[in-house]
Amino acid sequence: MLPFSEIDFYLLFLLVVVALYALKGVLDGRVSLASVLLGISLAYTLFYYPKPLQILVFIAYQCLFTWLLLFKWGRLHKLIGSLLLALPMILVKLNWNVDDIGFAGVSYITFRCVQVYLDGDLLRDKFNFRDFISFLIFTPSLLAGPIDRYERFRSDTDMGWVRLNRSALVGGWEFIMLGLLHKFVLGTWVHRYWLSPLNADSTAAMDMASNMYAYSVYLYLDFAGYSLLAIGLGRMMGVELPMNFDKPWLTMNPQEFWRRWHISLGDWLRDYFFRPIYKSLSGVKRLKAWPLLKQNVALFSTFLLMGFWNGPEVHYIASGALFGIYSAVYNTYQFKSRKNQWDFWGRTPEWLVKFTSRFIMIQLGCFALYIFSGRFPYLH
Amino acid sequence: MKTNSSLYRTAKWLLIYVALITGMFWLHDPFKVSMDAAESTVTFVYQQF
Repeated sequence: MLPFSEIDFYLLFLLVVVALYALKGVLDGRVSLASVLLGISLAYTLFYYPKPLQILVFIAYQCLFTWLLLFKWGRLHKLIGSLLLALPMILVKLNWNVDDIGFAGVSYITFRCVQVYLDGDLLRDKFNFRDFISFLIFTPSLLAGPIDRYERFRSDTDMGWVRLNRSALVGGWEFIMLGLLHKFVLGTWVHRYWLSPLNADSTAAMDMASNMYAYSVYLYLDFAGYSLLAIGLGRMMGVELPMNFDKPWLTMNPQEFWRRWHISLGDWLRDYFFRPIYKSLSGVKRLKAWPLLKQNVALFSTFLLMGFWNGPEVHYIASGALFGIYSAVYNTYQFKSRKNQWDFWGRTPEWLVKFTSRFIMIQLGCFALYIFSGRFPYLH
Repeated sequence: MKTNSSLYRTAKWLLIYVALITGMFWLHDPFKVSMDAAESTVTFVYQQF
């Protein structure tokens, strides 16, 4: 039973949350919230989540290598260490024995493992296996994020039972209601009455435009819905998972897009891929006089990696590359504007600048998501 | 109307609950919801990753 996909899941976790709040007074001072959350997540993973054996083996692999990399192999190059942790996910993406080693959500757990490893210098003193495993398999974010950070997760669980209060319960409930509305009402409606009837193979301009907008709206409602459900249940259990969407239709440029759309992935890519690449390029003497080139190479590589992360299919890679091109072009525009003191918009009223920027960005974003969807007829 | 006023909040949540209940009955027919996990067809786009 996958999280949030069946009524059984909601009933099960309704009981879990009721039990947590009912027993809070008894358990406080005897058992830590972190231990209870680990117990709940382990029980759910072992008894309800598909492919529990694969997850167990994967968690054992990640625990072993994270410990080795943090405490024994400190001198190993970070790239090699990261690849070692990402190896199972890479094999799954390359369709190598997927049935034997793959399971739903493998990428999201891998991201969390790599974060702990790359932040190892900051986290080494705070690392322990109970919190690490709890962080990796925390039920609300197990399937598809949001991609949390270890130190943030721990700061919540360290606060203990005080996290379970009326505000968390009411706030969590509201997130869950909004998530249900997004996924099971609005998303289902768009899928059933707009997206499904469309012919994805048609090359007529109107059909392609309709496919593009319908898929983008559906993807937003589906994924934002899931994220809201995860955040809601997380809050009820005392963990404040990060927000994943923030009104993405108000985006005015490609950089802002990733601060509003799948925010936790955008932040992860910025911190653990863009910055290390840019830093390593900054060490190349020949590139010292080419700051713009360094930024654009790092930006493009980051989004290309995101495309590969989605899968080795052409539409995923093309979509990542397209987002990379958007970001590099916008970055170049910004760089040149600052350097040459361009004033592209002149005396254009602010509302018109915002409206035009948002309109253009919506078209660009929807087009890249259309490519991502695999429904673009020229990339079949 | 201020977005932090209690009237705005009440109206907003009333609208959300009405939309949710109406949509759930219209699109999913809760009286026919199966408790058999194997019959669930709900998936999330991003779960494939």
